[in-house]
Amino acid sequence: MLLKELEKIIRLVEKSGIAELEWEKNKERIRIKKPSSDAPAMVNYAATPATVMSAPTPKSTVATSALVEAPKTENPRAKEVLSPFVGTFYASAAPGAAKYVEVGHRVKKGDVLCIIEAMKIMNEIEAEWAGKVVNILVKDGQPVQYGQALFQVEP
Amino acid sequence: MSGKIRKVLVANRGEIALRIIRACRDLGLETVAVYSQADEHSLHVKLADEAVCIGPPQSKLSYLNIPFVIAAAEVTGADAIHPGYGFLAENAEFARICRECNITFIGPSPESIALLGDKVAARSTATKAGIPLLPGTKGAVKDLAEAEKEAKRIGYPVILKASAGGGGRGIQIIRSHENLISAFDRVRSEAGAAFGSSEVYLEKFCEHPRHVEIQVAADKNGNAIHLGERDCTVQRRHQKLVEEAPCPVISAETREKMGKAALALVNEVGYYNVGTVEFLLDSDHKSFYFMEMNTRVQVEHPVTEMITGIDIVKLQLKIAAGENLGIKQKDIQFRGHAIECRINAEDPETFKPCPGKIEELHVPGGFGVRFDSFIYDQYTVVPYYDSLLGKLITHEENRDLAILKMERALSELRVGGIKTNASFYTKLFAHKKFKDNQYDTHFLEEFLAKKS
Repeated sequence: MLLKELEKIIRLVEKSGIAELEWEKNKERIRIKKPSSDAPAMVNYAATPATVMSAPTPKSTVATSALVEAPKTENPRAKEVLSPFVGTFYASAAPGAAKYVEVGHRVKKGDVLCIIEAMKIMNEIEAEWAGKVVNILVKDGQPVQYGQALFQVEP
Repeated sequence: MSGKIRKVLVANRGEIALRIIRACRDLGLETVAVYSQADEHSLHVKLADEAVCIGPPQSKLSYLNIPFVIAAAEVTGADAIHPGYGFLAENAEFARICRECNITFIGPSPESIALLGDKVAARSTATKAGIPLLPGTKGAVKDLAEAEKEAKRIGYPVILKASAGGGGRGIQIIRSHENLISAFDRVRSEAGAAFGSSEVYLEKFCEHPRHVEIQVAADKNGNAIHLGERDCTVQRRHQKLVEEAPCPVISAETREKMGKAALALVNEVGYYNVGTVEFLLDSDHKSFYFMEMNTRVQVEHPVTEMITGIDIVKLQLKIAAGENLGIKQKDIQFRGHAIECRINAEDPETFKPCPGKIEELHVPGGFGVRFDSFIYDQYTVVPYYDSLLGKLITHEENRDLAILKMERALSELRVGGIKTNASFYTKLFAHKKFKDNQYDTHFLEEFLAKKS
């Protein structure tokens, strides 16, 4: 399948209400899954007004990790770019600016992939190997933890 | 709880992380656990409302990593950090950064930590507060003549110490004037060879000292109380193993004096938070000397909780939130006797750490038995941190009954798959000297030496 065709399909899926698409033709098989559509509920980081004597909302006995990881593309050749910090993930240099990378982009070693903000410091995360970005696993502004997968980049 | 604290990040692991998470929940506060990659399956991660991985297994890169701990508080919206004990608990720089980031540090001010963490500054502050220090020379003694004069003033036996020494090296006990004459030059040249400095000083030597500490609590509004003392005389290489409250050898009068001395230091410093003032108790069981103040919650705090009925971690949270203590000294009553044994993942003979998977677990129970721990069946004890698995505490009417109950509780405890030091305590409690209370800080070393 041509890359252009694949991009077209991805774009169609993005615009549609479909959460996941699996397609098989001859010996090729693709599976596209939207990361946001069925991701587990995120913890709300918006400032909540301080409440006096507020009882904790009922929680499951086993606490879930606050920092939920998005579904990954099943691509055995793609390698994961892991977050070296705890912080907030930013896809672009400034709000409204173009994203450093998009799915399908080719990156060189040393290219900036994103920013992780920790303690008011913007840390640029660079690609450690050249390749193609096949998946972005976190959303702009999302908190990430140490070792969390941020991108899948196929060398 | 006041509105000042809503969500607490617990910057620790193990049993103390659970202790703090539980206290927070009991007060209706939300909790955030931080953890290293080695602690993914640790109980504090499961019991907290939220959990953030902050680094690889090595403490230096995770639990001691200040920027990552602060970043975890920022991304989760935690407005307070509880440091527990160890790790960042007595790090003035960390407390300062918390303040700059508008995060409430659940502990004292960075200034108090810095002052009390500096041995020389702490001693001079104690002197100002009128607390007795172990008599000794102000600094190094320059020659034998000065040493003779000072030794006479302090009174024999004295201890001759290398200023640059440590870990029990460069130390000589001097029992007489003749002793001093023969040892002085030798200790000086040994110190010079071993530590690169031949400076020596003199200190009073306590023959059979006991380690007795006073638990204090002070709020930010100038109220301060003490919760009595703990006896932590049973130590191995300065590692406490058994702690009890009250101290079985002091009188009510000495307790009162020690408590007053501890509070004098608290007032001198303007200290707030819970804390512990450590004293060396001399063989007369009346004279005591200030050693140091710990500015955190102590591992052995439960024995005080058992005999006073006061939740020390809850009190700490209240203080941090700016509330009043809400208890007066006259309301503090001591009931019965409590003992704590530290259950470590260690070989009971060699004391070597023994990490691994727990294949079977039975926790003792019953009236007056408490087990503060974080282990569970099939949990794997990781090798990166200290070996403390839990603290077994018993509370009874008196010391004899508390020991009997501890022996019963120890016999019920089963930790399969790994070795623990539990059987060591059974042997220790069977020892006459322990039962009869005839021991000092050297007791354990003698006890172990005889065994091997």
